[in-house]
Amino acid sequence: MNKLLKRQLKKFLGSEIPPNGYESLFEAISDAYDAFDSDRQLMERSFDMSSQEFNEVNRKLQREIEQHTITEQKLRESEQQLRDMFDEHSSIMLLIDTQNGVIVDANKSAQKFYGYDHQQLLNMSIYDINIMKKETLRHLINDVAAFKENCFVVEHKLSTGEIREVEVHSTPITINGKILLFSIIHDVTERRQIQEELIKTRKLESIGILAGGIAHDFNNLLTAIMGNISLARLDINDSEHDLLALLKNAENASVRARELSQQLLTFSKGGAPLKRTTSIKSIIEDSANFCLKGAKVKCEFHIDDNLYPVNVDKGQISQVVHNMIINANQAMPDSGIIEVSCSNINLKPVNKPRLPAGKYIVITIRDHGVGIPPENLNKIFDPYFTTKEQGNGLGLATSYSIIKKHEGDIKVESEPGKGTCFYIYLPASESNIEAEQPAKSDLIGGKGRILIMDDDDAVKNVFGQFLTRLGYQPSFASDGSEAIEMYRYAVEENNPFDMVIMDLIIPGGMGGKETIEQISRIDPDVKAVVASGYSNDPILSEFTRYGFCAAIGKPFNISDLSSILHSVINGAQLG
Amino acid sequence: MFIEQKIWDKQQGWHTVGNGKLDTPAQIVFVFGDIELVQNTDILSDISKSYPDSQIVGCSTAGEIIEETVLDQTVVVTAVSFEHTSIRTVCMDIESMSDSMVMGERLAQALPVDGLSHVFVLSNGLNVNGSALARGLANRLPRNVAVTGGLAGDRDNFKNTVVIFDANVRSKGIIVVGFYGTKLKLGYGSMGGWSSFGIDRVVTRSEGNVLYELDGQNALDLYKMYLGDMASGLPATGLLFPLSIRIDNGKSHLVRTIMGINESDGSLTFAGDIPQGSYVRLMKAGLEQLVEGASGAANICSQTMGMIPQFAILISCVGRKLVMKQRIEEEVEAIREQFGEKIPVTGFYSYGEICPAVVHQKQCEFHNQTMTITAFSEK
Repeated sequence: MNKLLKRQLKKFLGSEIPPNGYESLFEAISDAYDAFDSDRQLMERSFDMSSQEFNEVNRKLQREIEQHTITEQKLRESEQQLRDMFDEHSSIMLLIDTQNGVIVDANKSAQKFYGYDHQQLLNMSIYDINIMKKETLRHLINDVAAFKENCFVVEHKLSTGEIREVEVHSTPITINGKILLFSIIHDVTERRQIQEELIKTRKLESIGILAGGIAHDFNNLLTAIMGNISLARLDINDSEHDLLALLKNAENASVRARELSQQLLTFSKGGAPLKRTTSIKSIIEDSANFCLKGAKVKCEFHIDDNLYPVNVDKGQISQVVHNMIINANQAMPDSGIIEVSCSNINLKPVNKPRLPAGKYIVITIRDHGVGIPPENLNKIFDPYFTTKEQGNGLGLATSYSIIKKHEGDIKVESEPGKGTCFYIYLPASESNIEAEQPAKSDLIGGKGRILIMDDDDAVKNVFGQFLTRLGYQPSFASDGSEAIEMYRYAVEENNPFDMVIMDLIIPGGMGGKETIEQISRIDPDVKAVVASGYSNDPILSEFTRYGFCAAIGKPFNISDLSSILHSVINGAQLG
Repeated sequence: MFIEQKIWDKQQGWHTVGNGKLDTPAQIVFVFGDIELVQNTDILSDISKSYPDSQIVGCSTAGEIIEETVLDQTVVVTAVSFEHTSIRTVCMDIESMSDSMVMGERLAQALPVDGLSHVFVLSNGLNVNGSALARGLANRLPRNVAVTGGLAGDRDNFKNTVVIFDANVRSKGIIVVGFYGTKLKLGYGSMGGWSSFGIDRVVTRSEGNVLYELDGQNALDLYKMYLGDMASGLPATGLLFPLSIRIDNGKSHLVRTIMGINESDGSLTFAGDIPQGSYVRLMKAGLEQLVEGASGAANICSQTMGMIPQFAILISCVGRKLVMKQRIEEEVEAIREQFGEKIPVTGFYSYGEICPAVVHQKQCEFHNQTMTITAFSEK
């Protein structure tokens, strides 16, 4: 019987035993008491268990919340880091919706590059920026989204209207169910221009190697031809007009051949201009006027008075101006005005063309002729590129090469039907303008023993004839070794040479540069003149550095030679 | 509709209950009795002799209901003679619990559908998955035909249950009774009265109606922890803590009770499915809520019927009986208060109930821990 019921029976009825006849009733009451106790215990246990579980769940939740808070914080930091990386990265970055091309996000570099603020860019689509045809661009976007394409070069328009060439690296990413293109954009406008320049320079270099070799041999031949013509002219009486005219024609042809040879040589690698600090004004005016003699086209000059002096090879710059004016003239067959201007300019690093910052003069030659088709604009400085039937394709290529060797730049703008404008930039010189040496045309004779070193018999013959005519005693060596031996012998015999004229390059033998070094050891006071068919060879422009007293470019005439020999024999150094 | 009711018990043998006496042969006789008694061929033979032309259907129980009384170790018999209603019965044996849905479909297909107005099902209580059986029946029956019924019990032993069909007992049997007739009015209602408590738990491992893990914890261990000393009474004591399964995204729930345990793999077998991934909570009962639940079931039944019934079959879960103990009759009284004390009532304590979950809906569901009422009337 239930304990409580027992106590109650004892308390109220005086005995734990139920009264007779009520046993079943009390048994039922006892069962009910037990059931209640059992239920209560079960419930208490359940609530206790449940409470423990709730506590555990609470603790777990608390840990999860703490972990969640930490994770959220890390996520926020990570998101901020990614945001900063995106925003602050120096590369231009855009997020573009593939569906409609809308710009979903743009970093600061993009805002700076395109010239729009963040909100303006978000109100735009890539179709507003990329100048490609809309249909073509849509195909490109689809290809990128399908992983068929991820890097391409296109043209983007800035807020200023300027078109820039850009290299785009683009990857499709999915954000909030949308496929976006994450595009990293690099402005390659300058890089592409530099690459084009480099290609052009390499083309010129490769042609220069060929041209230099040809010109060298050509000049040797011309030396013999021109030398013999000038000797023939000396031997003919003035009364023989017809013969003199023929020789004159032959000499003129030789001079034109020399000019062609000079043009070829401007391409040759290492060919340096023979620079002098001078004023550009007279070079421009003289060259322009000279080549427009008798033409319908006229020049209008706007040349500033206080131009910076420039350190240039007068002949080469004349040639550049000459080429430009000839082109302008040919562009206006029905007459017209060529505007030629020149002014000072201080280039800042951001200015065009891409030249070091500093002082420059800029020559502008503008015609109002037929113009150049856009597809030809980037080819006009290529050697042998010409649209003229009679053109040799060397004029602008030569000009380009000359200006580059003067550390300048040359640019062109042209619009078909409206005309063309060339801008030539030349660095200003810090030196003062050098006085011009008056040209001497009379032959000046002299005396003395002169050793000629040249591998070409025809050239040696011309030298011999010229020197003999001028009163000198020539001796000949075919290469450096022979020349050294002869010079040493002459010194030892106490009958030294008064001068040595040596060719710079002797194929298969010792050339002038090495020979002068060794002869200088025999006779430190040796008077040597360097001659070369490579008239633009740096040694010719800096001959004193190599131990020579003077330089003479092939071909030459007897007058040039007599002047140089006279000066050298009499102790003057020609520089 | 005419009804005659009898009880057999050891003290008195057969004796009549109430005033009902049939003048015409009964079409159907419902027999609910203690597992040992219904296997007694003499008792079944007596019933068969008393109603030679009637269809006899019934099952073993965990307690018998007649009038306002809940009895143990008796056999209660209710013979019904309908005036305007015909009956078709089918019984089939199920070989494996996994065949439950197929059996439900086969049984439904065995009933002619013309004029079918209701189906009453009685199944063995241990060799069947009640959920699957209900699904199978619902799959093949017309949508306007509801199913009610229950699973047999065996006191609270969970060892051997039987159905009674044509005076024979069948431990693997499932019976369906089809009611035909336009004048028959059916009412049904099912309600529990249990309330969930404790934390939400995820079913992390289950197969059909076998539950292995809750929140990654062994399910049997969890029950043992809650039952304490009473764990030795499993699986019966497991009825004290049924599981509430959330369905329809938490809008409603189903109750599941334990039918068996497996100590070797720590699993619990329930009377219906416990879907893996579903959320469940332990449930507990309060006496008042259970009584209110029964009263609520009667109320729903009246609503669906639209009138006071002439006869009702009550099928209540054994778990309720275990909780209410001596007060179990209070739930029957609550129903009689709703229907009126003169209405004949029979029924039994079961291992599961079948009834539509929602008022005015015919789609049946399998339930546990409910009082499920099927009420009849002929206009």
